[in-house]
Amino acid sequence: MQHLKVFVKQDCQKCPAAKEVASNFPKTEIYDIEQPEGLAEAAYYSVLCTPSIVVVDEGGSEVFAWRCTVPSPRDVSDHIN
Amino acid sequence: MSAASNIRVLKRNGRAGDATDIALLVSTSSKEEINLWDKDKIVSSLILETDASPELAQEIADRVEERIIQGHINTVTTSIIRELVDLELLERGLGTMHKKHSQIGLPMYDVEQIITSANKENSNTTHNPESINLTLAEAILKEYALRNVFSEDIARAHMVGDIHLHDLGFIIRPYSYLGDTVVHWRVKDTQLVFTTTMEQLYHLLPGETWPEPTVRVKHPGKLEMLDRGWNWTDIKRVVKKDRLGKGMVFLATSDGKYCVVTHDHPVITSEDIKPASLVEVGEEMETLDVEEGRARGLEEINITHLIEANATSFKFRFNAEDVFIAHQRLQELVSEAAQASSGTRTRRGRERRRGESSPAAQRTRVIMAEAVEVLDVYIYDVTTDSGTLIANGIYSHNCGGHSLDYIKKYGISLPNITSTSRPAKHPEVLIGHLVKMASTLQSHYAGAIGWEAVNMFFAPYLVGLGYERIKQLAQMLIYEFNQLAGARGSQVVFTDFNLYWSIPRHFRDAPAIGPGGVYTGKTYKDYEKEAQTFLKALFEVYLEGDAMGKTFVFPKPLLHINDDFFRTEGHEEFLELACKVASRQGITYFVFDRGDEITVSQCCRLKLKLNEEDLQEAMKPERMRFSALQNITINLPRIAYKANGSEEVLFHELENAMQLVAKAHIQKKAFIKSLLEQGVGGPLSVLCDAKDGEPYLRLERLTYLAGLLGLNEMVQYHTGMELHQSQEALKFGLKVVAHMNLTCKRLSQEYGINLVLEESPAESSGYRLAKLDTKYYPTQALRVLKGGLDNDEFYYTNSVHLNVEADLDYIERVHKQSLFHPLIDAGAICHVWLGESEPDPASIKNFVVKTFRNTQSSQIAFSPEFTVCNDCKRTHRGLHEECPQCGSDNIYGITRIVGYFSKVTTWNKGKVGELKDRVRTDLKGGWEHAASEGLR
Repeated sequence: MQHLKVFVKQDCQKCPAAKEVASNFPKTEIYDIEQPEGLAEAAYYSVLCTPSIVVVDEGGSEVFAWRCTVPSPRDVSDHIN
Repeated sequence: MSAASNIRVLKRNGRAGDATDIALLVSTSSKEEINLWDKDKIVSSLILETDASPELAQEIADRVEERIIQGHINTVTTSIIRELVDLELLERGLGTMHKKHSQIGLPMYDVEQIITSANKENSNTTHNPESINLTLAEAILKEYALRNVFSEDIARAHMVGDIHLHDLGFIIRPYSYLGDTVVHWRVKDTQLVFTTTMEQLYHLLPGETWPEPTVRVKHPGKLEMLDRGWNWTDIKRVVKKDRLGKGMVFLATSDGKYCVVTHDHPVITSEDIKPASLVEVGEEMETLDVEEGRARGLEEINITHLIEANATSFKFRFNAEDVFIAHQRLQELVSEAAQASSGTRTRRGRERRRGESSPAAQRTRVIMAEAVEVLDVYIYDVTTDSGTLIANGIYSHNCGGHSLDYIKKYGISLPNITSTSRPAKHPEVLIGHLVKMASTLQSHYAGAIGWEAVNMFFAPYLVGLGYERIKQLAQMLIYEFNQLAGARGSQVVFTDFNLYWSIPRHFRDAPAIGPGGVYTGKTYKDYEKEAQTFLKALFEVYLEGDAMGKTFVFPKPLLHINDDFFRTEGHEEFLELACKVASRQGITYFVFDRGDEITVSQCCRLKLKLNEEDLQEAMKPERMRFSALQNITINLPRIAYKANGSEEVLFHELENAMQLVAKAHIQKKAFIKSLLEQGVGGPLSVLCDAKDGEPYLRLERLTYLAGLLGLNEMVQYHTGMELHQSQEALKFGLKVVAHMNLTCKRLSQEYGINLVLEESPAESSGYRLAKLDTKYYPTQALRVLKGGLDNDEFYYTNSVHLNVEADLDYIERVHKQSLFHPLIDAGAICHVWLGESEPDPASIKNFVVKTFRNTQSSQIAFSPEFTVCNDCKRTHRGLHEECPQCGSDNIYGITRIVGYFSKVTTWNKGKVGELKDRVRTDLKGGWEHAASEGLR
């Protein structure tokens, strides 16, 4: 099943909005890119800024991504199975 | 006759001079002589060198004498006496005294080895008298550094191979204002304006850091500085630097304003931005009357008189009379300036009152511009967002300038060269100057010397020249650098040329300097055509190779690829040429600058996005690429061995290693500071040249590097999989590097230094650390070491690279390695090993463009292999046992060792092992294949 990876950090104005959008979906993981795990995951998905949301498949491969922007819940629905 | 009087002291070596004699415990300095035993020399040497009490010194001397007599030794060398004294110190537990007293030397056998066999530490060093001198000197200096510069724990960590301390290298850049320059600032978006001197502003701010030995920096929070036209600009930082004897210039304007700046400080006149020393009377400058702020509803608090300026400025070197005389002269200049300006000022003042509401900028004339003696020890600068500010009411600059421009403008005048050249009028002379400068710099820095935008800076010299002539100049430039092997152990000078097809944005509007060192009245964007022609000519020369058709080794061409590159006319054709060079000769380095931001070479967006302050500072192009940096490499596999499968221990050990690295940097910094404090008479005179103060290399500040080695083996030992073998292993590798990246940031703040990660080239240290691991962690190391274990040709995989013999598609390799690049701030590279194949340049081009667009790779290079025949003088592709043309075995192989090409015969064993394992590609198969594997 596809799920969302949300990349955030503190002092990031749009990050709460991204978390809000992601909260509409059942499987969501939040990563703080100021922590080693979060930064490593961000590097793995070539995420260079926050907020970013990546849709991944079961194998962890990227299906779609919004980097440095906040999509609408509708946008996300359109790209997630 | 006492027993002691029979002892003869044999003194070896012909070292002269007081310090040497004292160190040798004998008082004369002839070549080799026998002295009579004199116990008092031990006593005085101990007191002098170790601060021992006379009683202790006497006691030790007695004991040493006793031992010699008991041993029935009739003749002793000074070094044996010293060892005996050291033994006494150690037996008494006097470790610190022992450290101060110990001798640094080399065993006879080692010296013989150094003389008779080549040193393979750097494969660009040949075996010759100069390189023997270098190796001998290095052996002594390394030991000195380990004993005296670094603390014992760090020296120990180096010796056992937890970390590797690389060569010394550093840089400074002092130019600025005098501390009493008045500036106006306020808390962001408030109305209350403070007027203070720069010195006061500096001392009012909290949180001092020392990015360089002679530079202190404070970062104010939310302050802004008054700028041109009553605008406000954010204050990025306030800097206080040692003046190091730099000349200052007094400038006064017709409306009664004046300032004192370093002679090379960029001054804004109506026509130009030029060093203060070149500003002439009559030139127009822009000033601003701050009193008029009241008309704009600003409330000003002038506290220049309230806070006593820091008195330490004067206390070091001068007596009161000097201070008085210097101040008197400055006062005279100020009053002369005031008189000369009074007429103009009144008139202008009236005009303004009549006009009422145009209080912003006003044009005034320079009425005085002359060199002035000052005694201030410190100078100051405020870095603003806009790069300009109002200082003493004058619209001014805070920084600028570039190294090649420096030579163009000032010619050559170096402390170690007796004659002085005027600025070059002809391109050939400019090349000569550049080469001499590089040669001098190489003797001061440990690693590569990078030159920024070389093709662009040459462009003003090439106007109106035909292509043939330009190509001849390109050829001359490349050959001169490629064959410049006079410096430091006869190594070829390790040079990087940063090259651009489109004029970099940060230079587009910079005033161009042309023949004779004068401004041409145009900016660099007006020279794009010439810069492009020169770039094309350079690459054509690289394509042809040398007289035998072989690739050049230096200067390394770093071709910058950014969005502007693809927007600039002719880029397609030029990229084809650069790729043809990459395919045939391999020497092109493709450096990727992503985004529309101004970046120079190894900028990294991730870091910059995370930290806006970093972003602002990295925007300063002069900060990048211009120095040999201090590096300390961390032996990552060792950490995994220590952790023995525990992730908690692994990250704990990683933290310890990084703490050691930071601490080592701090100790090194203190040592360099002590050398710098000797000023122009000291060993680093070129770097604090009192005439210019410019070290030519424009590092904004020192960068301290933490190098990575063997991530692949670390991950393999810890997880059981190599980086390329599973997603989990790759992610664990990323976690380690992410952890290190964040730790660097934290330690940078903690220690006030700029600590960043680097992919260590680790040409020799990689082998050294692997070898030490076979000694201290043999069973663990044998499980993961790569290469030939039975013939000593083993190695750790470089930095964060994937196993070189992994059966991976080159695209996947580049894609996976590139994931690490945004985490490695100081430079990362992906190598594509071509072997004997010469791929279609179109394939390289396609790959370069896709790598730029679809990955985060910082840099890629393609490495073919060559065999050169000494008999038939031909160069062939691939590494062969004998010459494919004439069958001779009088041949040698050439390929890229780490960041440059060199003869395979000069490589160390570890690198030879790696070479055998490298998986080569002909670039066949394309991105379609990559897409099917889910690679973007």
